[in-house]
Amino acid sequence: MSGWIKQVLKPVASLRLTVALFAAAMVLIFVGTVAQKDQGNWQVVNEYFRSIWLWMPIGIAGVRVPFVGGYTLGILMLVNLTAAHTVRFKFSWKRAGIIITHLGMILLILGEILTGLFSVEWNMTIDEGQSINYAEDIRVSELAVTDPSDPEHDDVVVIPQGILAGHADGAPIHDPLLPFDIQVLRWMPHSGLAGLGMADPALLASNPATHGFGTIALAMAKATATGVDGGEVNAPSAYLRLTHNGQVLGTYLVSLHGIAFEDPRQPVTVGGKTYLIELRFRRDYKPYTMHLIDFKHDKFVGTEIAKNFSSQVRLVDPTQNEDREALIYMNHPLRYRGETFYQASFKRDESGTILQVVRNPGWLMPYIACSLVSIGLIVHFGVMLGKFVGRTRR
Amino acid sequence: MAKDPKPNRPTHTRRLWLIPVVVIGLSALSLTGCEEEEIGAYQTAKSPPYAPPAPIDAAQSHAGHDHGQAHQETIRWDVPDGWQADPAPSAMVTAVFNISDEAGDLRVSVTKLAGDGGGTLANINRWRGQVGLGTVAAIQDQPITSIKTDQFTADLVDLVSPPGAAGRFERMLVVSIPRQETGQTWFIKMTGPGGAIDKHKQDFVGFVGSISFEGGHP
Repeated sequence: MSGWIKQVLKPVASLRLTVALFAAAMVLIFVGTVAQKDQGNWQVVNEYFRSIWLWMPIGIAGVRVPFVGGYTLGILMLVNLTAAHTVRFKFSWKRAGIIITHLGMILLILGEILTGLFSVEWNMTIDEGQSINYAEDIRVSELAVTDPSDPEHDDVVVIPQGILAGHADGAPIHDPLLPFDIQVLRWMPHSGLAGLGMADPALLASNPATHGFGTIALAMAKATATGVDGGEVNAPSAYLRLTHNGQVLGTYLVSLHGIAFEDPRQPVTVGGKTYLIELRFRRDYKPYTMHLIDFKHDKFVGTEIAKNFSSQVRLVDPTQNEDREALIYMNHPLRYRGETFYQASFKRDESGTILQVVRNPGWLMPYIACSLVSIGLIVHFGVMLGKFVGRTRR
Repeated sequence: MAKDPKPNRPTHTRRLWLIPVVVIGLSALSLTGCEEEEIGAYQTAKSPPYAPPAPIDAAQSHAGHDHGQAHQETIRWDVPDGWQADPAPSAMVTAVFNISDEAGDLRVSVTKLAGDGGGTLANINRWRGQVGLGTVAAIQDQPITSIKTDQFTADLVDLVSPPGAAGRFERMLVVSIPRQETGQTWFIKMTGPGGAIDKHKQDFVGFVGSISFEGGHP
């Protein structure tokens, strides 16, 4: 190896750096775990572990310090380990176990980086007898403005949650794709809904809604769901004033709680044409449809303890000439087009299933990595045992 | 020539700048990978035609009905004598009854909301505010009694306005019935003067006890 490469790699391969990285990882994991008390799980994962750096709270109100994020630590560990092997370690059969173990660890880190960057997790909620051609991301919402006038298809314009929240200062959202301008009067990242008859008079007096759901229900802001809320999902609501050419069309309440109504969509008429608006979980439309034939929740006889959950589905994909049935149950997912469909949950009245749709190009790597680490440790133990026995005999 | 007792260790100390360089490099890389959120448009298969909110059945004679789209369930009850059903309650309310009494008129409303209706503690504090009571920090701080039937256990909260308080109601009875089967919660609320509620509280409890649900899944 040329001298200058070695000179560059030597400090990177430092054992001190290894110890410092492990110490930083412990701090990050500890603070990240505690943070789930006040923040949602996925918010913490993205902010602490799938980030380059972050402003880390240090336990004093409002005081934060910059700290390395999970990606930086992972990549530095990777660089540190590979540099150490390049500069310091020499291959010999005696060290084979250590090298295999380290190879496993390198794969583990690479696998997590791949998962963090490229994996997606969505939900498919399907009622018995219903067909669905989209999955939902229950961590984030979108405002959908649908033009249903074409008899063949719907034209949908979607505004991501980030844009709605970013315009909570009242600045209008204007886009040539939209049939009207939208002014976000109030944005609530998490909310509850109450009938007007149950609300405080003070809240009633400040109800800005003039049309739709908002005239019969009131949305109230709630603290956002945290990692200790037992899987509670944020349900945003917003009050939107819609205008067209300077003319106010009305102020509407849009809410993830819209499902409480007969139809979660609300009609808005502009220039004689009716559009439907709906705040919903972000959707990812698929080229295939999933039809739920039957959902079963088996219990152990005489108890309420779950024995098995299973979904009998029919998968239809005209683009691949695919039309088949499949049974999805615990630990027995369906794999199709690079996506894995797990039996994740079900509707509370057992009228439908909730499938988790996961696309993870690095899904196999943790299995290979753990196998390599195990093999490496066994080899190393064997080598050391042989050495010890040899020494004892002498 | 004498050997330097403290040999230079340039490689470890001088190249520590590599670490911030790596961090800055990674930050730049992450910024280039950030997806900017933008408004998008696409076509989808036809969705079901828009269904305007169905008129809610008012409590006719001795039975009320609720037909939610998501979970079909029928609620039934026996209406006590002297309770007059409002023929046109607001769309958000399933039923409203008016009771005339010399001690003051009472109103009973039956409402259904998704989930827990916004949170038990938040609801309790809202109701307390409506009778002019201060908030409580925990649900345990609010006395709650239970009404049990074969089908459900309901929580009953009895709130009385303190003397001189500027509450919207003088007294309020609120019952919540969580329905695991449909993921919804029913609220039955009686509001009016305290003396009148004293006289009709038994009827209210009897009305809640008479409620039954039919047709929910499975």
